[in-house]
Parts: sequence; structure tokens; C-alpha cells
Amino acid sequence: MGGGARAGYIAATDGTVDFGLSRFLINAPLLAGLPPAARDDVIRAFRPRPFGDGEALLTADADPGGLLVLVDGAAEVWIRVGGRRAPVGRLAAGDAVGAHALFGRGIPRVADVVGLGTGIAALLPTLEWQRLVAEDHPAATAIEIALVRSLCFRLHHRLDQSLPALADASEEEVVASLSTIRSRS
Amino acid sequence: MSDPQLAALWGLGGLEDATEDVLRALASRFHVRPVAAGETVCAVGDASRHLWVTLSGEVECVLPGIPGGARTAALGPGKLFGHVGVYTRAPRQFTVRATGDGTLLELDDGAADALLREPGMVGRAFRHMLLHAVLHQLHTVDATLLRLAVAATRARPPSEDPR
Repeated sequence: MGGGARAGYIAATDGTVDFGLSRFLINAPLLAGLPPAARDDVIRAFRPRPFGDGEALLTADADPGGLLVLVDGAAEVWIRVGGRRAPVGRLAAGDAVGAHALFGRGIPRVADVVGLGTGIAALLPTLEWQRLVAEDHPAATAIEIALVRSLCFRLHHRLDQSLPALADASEEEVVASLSTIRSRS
Repeated sequence: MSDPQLAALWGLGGLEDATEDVLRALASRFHVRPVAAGETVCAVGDASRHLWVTLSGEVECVLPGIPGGARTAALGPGKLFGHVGVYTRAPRQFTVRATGDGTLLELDDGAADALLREPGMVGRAFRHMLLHAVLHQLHTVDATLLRLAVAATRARPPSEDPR
């Protein structure tokens, strides 16, 4: 169940984004540099996705249904392997998750994203994404560029925090590195 | 264009929708760089001015300064490296050395940035290739960390607390 929409981000009755979400998306890094007409076109493709405290926005077992952009609130990223899991990062407004569903064909998923308190995300459904790509829409290019850069920053950060412990192959330090990654995310 | 170049790019994933013509156009943007055994491709702390795909041979990623010389990864043909530094503009996190004679596909930072922003099928194929490779690398790092953490937890004896 959703956690309920927050004030100012009430979904429009036709399921499309309301004025508050639109205003956020206009300034989102994901759509930076787009001409206004192209930007407005893609914003209409997003759907509001309210979430509650502890609610899974994305799980390793299920397709999230598209790309999620966190609009308000926070979420925590957990990784799991072999029935065990550990927190590795925290997401804030503007962060995007779900790129795996669009670009990670064949790569196993290990991450869950869970709401920290109530919040709202904007979902770009997979079918809408495929339409943008098929049309060679400038928004598809802008989103891909933003995702490349943000995922490279995410990988850089993850390596920066974890490599010394990983390279040293001390299991205790690896455990500690997970805590470090979490605290600095 | 030789087939090994197409195979190396194809091996990175994310190019399922690219035609052979698009792959050939993408491959033509890279320079072929021979490397000799023991040659340093980039050193930790260097400015990040290139990205590479291994075409033949093998390179190793090492972290200098750690006792024993920590080798964190060995990359055979069809592996992407150097892209994180190029797109974050951060200094190199690893030293990368060739373990034997081989060849790399090389792209400088200016060309890499232009190709990232290029409209059309070649730019799209490049972005999809990058996204697939980065997602795979994130998965590898996360899964490795978690497996080691789980192993450490299981290795801890139940009588660890002396009381």
C-alpha cells in the first residue's frame, strides 16, 4: 500500500502528475537542458508514486515498472545476496532508481529501495520510456546522459569508500566498509 | 573494421538493439592502442583523460600502497575501464597495468563527452553500452561486498564473547 501523497503533491484525478510534481521535474537534473516543449512532453509521461515508511519502492525480485525519480522524502538502498542484506546508500530528492529495468538486461538484481518515512516519487513507466526511445525523443537522450553521469558518480563513491577494505581482503574491514558507505551516502 | 573490435564492444552488453552498421560506426570512433607487458595504462591519482575497452590481452587493476600490492581485478578482452574518472572528472582510483602484450580501444575525454551527448543511433548505442557496463560493475561491487560481509558474520564463532 502507498503511504499517501504529501501535501502539495496530490495526484491529478487522471493519474498524471499534478502541478507540484511538474514543478519539481522541470528542475530535475534528469531533464536538464531540454527545450521546454520536449521537457513538458516527457513530464506528462510521469506518474506519481507515493510511498510510506518502510515500503519497498523497488525490490530485487520485481520489475519496478519503469524509472523512479525521488521527488520528496528519502529512501534507503539495501543489497541482498543469499538471504542476507545490508544497507549501502541513501537516496534524496532528485535521485533516480530503476535504471536496471531499462538498461540492465541479464544482470542479476541485488538491491531493494525502501522508503524512509513517507514521500513521493515520479515513475516514468517502461512503455513510456520505450516510446521516447522509438521516437528518438530528445528527452530519452537527456535522461540517458544524466543516468550515465549519476551512475558513474555512484560507482566512484562506492569504490572510494570500499576499495581499501576490499583490496586488503580483511573480512572485518569489509563489514566496516559497509557501515562507512552507509554513513557517508 | 576487424571483427574483434565489434566483438569487444558487443561483449560489453547493452547493444542488443544496435545493427552491425551502428556497431562499426561506434568502433570507428576509438583508436587502437597497443600495450606492452608491464606498461602502465594509467596510475592512481592521474587526471582522467581517456577511457578504454580491452581488445586483446589482459590488464590488471591494482591499488598501490597496500601491503602485498592489492590486485582488485583482472580485465580480459571486452571490458570497459576508465569511464568513471572521465564522467566524474575525478582522478584515477586505480593503477592499471598490462599483464602481457595486448591492444586497447581508446577514447579521449573530449571524444567520450561528445559521443555521450551525440543524438542518433551511434550515440544511443554508446550510452546503452556504458549504462549496461556501469550497472554490471555496480552489481559486482555490491555483491562482492555483501558476500564478504556474510562470510565474516558466519565465520565468527558463537563463543566469540568470552563471557
